[in-house]
Amino acid sequence: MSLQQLTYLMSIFLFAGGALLIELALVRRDLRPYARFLGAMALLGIMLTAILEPPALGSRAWVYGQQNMLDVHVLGAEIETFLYSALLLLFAGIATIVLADHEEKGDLTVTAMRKYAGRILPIRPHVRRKITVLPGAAPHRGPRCADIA
Amino acid sequence: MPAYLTWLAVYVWLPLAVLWATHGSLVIRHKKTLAISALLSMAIGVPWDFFALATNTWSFPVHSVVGIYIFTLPIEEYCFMIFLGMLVTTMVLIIRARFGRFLMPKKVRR
Repeated sequence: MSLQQLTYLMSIFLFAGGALLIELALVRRDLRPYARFLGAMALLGIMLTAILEPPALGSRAWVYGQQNMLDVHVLGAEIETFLYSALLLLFAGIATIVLADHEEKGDLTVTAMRKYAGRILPIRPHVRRKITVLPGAAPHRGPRCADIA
Repeated sequence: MPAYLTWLAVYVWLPLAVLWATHGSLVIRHKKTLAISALLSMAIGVPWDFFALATNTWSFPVHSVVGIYIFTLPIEEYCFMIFLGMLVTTMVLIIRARFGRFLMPKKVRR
């Protein structure tokens, strides 16, 4: 087996695995109750591959470069494609749960999404500054600020 | 009809149309979720496709596509990402609504 045969597998880890890792870093705290549901999603991904991939390959809607594959076929599809679907369905399942939960609460807003981004990116919460000058106060060198988060 | 378009029509658009027709209210209540899922699908799919075409991991035979290309990708591939993303999201929403009580603990059931 040559390294080139791992190209498809590596691209799955890079793109689907990478996206899933980023997503888990963002929302993993909210996912513990959904473990069984997400297991079902991975299973659904495997089933969808068995249904959707063989007719596409049979009709040559797309073709794989055989030199980049492990060349192991299961149920008429490349074995890597099952991993592809399982990871992507996990990704889609997590995204749907989080987004749908927010949309049902009427909270699918940029602010809500920034909360998740803030878990892995150094995003500071928006701070509105209000300058308060007390009546009769002596002139001061700098404004007295009250930060309202 | 080119093979890719036929495959999309039979395995993506038809099931999506059936699911949307039978679960219209669920779809309307989650339209933002569906739109964002399609965007996420594109965000992952487009760079992956460029990588795959550059390394010849997969390719699209000329006779299988209609021949309209956007940034070297056939238009069917964008349809694949958008509509398959929506199909999967719709299926997840339906499973969550119908079978949530078997798959999720009581406190998070919808």
